[in-house]
Amino acid sequence: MNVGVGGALKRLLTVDDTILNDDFSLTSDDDDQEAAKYGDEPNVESVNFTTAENKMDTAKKPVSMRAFLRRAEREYEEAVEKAHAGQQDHIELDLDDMKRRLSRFFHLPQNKDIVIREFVVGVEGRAPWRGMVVYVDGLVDKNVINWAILEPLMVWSHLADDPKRVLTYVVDHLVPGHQTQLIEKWSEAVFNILAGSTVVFLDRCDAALVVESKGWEHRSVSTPKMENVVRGSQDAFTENFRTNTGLVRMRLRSEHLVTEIHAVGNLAKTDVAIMYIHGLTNPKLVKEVRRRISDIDVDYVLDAGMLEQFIEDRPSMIIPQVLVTERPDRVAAMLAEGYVAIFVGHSPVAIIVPVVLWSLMHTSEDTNLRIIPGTFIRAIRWVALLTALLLPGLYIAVTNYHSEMLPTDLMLAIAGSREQVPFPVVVEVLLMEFAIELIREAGIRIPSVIGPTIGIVGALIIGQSAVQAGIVSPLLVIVVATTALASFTVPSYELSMAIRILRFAFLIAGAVLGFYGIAILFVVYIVRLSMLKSFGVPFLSPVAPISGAARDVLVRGPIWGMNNRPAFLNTLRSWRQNPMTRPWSATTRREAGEGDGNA
Amino acid sequence: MSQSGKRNAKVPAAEMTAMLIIFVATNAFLTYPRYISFSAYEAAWMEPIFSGALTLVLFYLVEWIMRKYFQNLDIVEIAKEVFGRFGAIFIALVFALYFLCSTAAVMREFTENVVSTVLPSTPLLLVGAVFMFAVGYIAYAGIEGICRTAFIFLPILLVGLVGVCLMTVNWWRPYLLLPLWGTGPVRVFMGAMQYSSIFANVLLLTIIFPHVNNPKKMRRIGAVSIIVSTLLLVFLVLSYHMVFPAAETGKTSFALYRLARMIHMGPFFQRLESIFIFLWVTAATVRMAVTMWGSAYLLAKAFSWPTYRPAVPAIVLLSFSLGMWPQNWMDVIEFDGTYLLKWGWIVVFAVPVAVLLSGWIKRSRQRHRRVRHV
Repeated sequence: MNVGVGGALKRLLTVDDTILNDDFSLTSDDDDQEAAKYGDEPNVESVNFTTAENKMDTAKKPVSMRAFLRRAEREYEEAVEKAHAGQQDHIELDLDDMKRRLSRFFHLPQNKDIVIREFVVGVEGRAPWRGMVVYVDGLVDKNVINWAILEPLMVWSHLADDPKRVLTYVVDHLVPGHQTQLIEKWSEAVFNILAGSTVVFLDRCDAALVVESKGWEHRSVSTPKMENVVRGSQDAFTENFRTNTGLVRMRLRSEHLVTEIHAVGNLAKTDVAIMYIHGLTNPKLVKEVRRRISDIDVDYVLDAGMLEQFIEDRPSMIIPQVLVTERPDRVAAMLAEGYVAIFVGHSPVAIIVPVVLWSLMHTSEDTNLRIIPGTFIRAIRWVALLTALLLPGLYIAVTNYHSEMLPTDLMLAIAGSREQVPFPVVVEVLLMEFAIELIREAGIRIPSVIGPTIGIVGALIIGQSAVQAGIVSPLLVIVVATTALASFTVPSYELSMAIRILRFAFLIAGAVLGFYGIAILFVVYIVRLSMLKSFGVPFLSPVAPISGAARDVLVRGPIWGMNNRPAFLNTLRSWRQNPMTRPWSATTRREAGEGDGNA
Repeated sequence: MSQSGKRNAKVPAAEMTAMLIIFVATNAFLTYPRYISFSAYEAAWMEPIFSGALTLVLFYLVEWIMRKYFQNLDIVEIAKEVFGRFGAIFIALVFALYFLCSTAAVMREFTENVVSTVLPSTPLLLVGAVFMFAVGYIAYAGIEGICRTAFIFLPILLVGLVGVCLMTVNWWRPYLLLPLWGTGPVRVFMGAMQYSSIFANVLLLTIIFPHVNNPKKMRRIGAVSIIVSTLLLVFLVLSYHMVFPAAETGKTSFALYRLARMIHMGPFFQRLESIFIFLWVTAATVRMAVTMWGSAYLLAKAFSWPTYRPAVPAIVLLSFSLGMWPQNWMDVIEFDGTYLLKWGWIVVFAVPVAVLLSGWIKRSRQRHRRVRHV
């Protein structure tokens, strides 16, 4: 106790600033001696990616923006080049040399993910023939390695003479892997190892064997999370690149369906697939997609959401200029129209380009419904979009500026409901909108175990307490709730987000200038949209500029009558079906002018 | 999009038609009904018909000359060929000044209308500045953007205009249209000639001719746009005169607003004038964007600027300042009625036709000379 009191007194009277010293602070490692101290060998590949502009150099001279960009580009390219410096692109003849290079390149033994398994190929009475398999633990199916590579080579093979000690013989006779490839470049070996294949190196061979052994854990194909439908297929893309492309190909069984695969990223490669129908999709569109993707010069692309911002025409716009879908049936249908689909790594969504505004409001269910119900739900969606965008702004405008247009009874009801509210309408609306946005965001982030809480809290705060406390009027609760409901009916999540944000702009316009402000903003935004393009296609096509095949825009066109593909895509084959799609029908034949319609 | 020499913006026929219809029909929201009512009384509805017919004839004449002799040329390029560079600059300046004054006058009239009807407590400068920003933005987007916007909003405008007229049906008294010839055929015809400048189709044709996607459709564009806008104006004026007596109609500046105020279709559908703000704003912004774009485009052409766009902000400021110059609204209406509407036909019809006829004569002579040499 005495020690305790003494210690406390001592601390009180002693100036000790060690309290200010952190255990660790992250600084530049230019003068770091720790690595040498702990015995890490410096790697030839280790590169400092820190470019000059990132260093805290205060003695900088001002430079022009062009010079700055040029310098940044040069420094970045130098860093990337340096990262690949010293790499010889051939495969070592000697297995020990190969192993040394692998260890150095993959930072072994610190890096525990990379597995090198050495073995000896079964040989009768001669000098042993050594080999090794290299793979990434966690990415491969170990059964394939055990039963399709190691067992045949180690147990079942009985090579007798030298001429058979060549890789082609191993591929043809010994390794029963379902998909194999002989490679001669070191970079290909690295790429395949990191992609989940197993690479077999054999002593005295200047090539390597790639055996497809991908087998990582992933979610199985399940129901859509964002694009639910009542009529239509119930499967969605998953976190597996090949499963996703397979889901589309399963539906669109055409020999002309092409899947090009490109790799994007300097630090780590991400597979990007471009899918289109050869002989149908406009080759200029495919070329443009290819160009935009291959021109991406970044270290790493994680997901489709990142890639789309690199390839969009105007990524700073709120409105999306690509269509993102998780539904394979939608991708298949749009490919058959002449669009291009892009898959990014293991992202569970596909990007479709180009896109027009109207497509963002369509769902795959529309075509499965009969024409009148299809048109009806589309009309509901359009009304909902306008409601989500304009209703709070219109409410403010009417109550503040145009109350004369309301019938007297309704006006009195509104005035009565607002009697107890101390705030102006715009503050009231902003408060409620903020609360709704909080609930939306919290609903996504909240752990699923306590998920139901959000409903109770939200309903209590917004529905009851706020009104009882006289913070907001009951009518406004209806307005905000209707707006929120309407915004949920927009099928595209990206468009829905855009509407959420734009709503605030219209709200402010309505608060400042009433209908006049809303109308002006609306016109300006329509003009902006009319000048926007998505991969060379005007965003408001086929309405403005007007072009053919406009029967399936605002309303659901008749399936049997929409004979042409959208003209704005300029496809190589404009007809998608025979003009007489129902030749068995006497009515159709009569309408087509073929006799009296009798068979 | 730009006329920088890389390519001319190309506009499909439907969008061009929509733009021309809105350009003319917007006059229904402005002072045109007042002036024709004053000039013809009960026969005011005939004036748009005569003006439209005259415009149609001139439009066909101008279109024929341009198609035959001046393919892919606009009025400034033709003037350059006929009168030389300085002559072309003079002609372009006249047109640009007309467009500038027209933009300024419409801006002031429109903002005064807005302030006096729906935003009585809002400063005129704020209303005007917001409006001019929107107009400048649309003009900056170019003729493609303007025409696309016009095409999108045309159905709303048509439904709205016809709707306003039809919803006043319970106030219609057809006998107010009698006597049929109003102030007499001569005054009606003279009024039609005087106020025909609202049909700026002929002048616009000489500017936008190189921008039409398919010049062969130009005749159809002209016919449809003139006929539809004439019908709209006639319908509006007829409804207006069936609701209000002729002597009263010549004294009010905002016919459509007065009509909208009269709507009473049961206790719920009444006093819908606020909703028509959307119509007025969309129509007026498109119309003014056309005149502003025309002004910037002509200046750029006259002085061989690589693009018209940098001129747009300057013209926005200039027309805003000009519009705000007069002390009050009545001065603007006076100026508009005395100069722009009354004498506008000289700029809108006479000058373009004169330039084209001169060009036609010059080209014909050159052709004859060449034939003689051969």
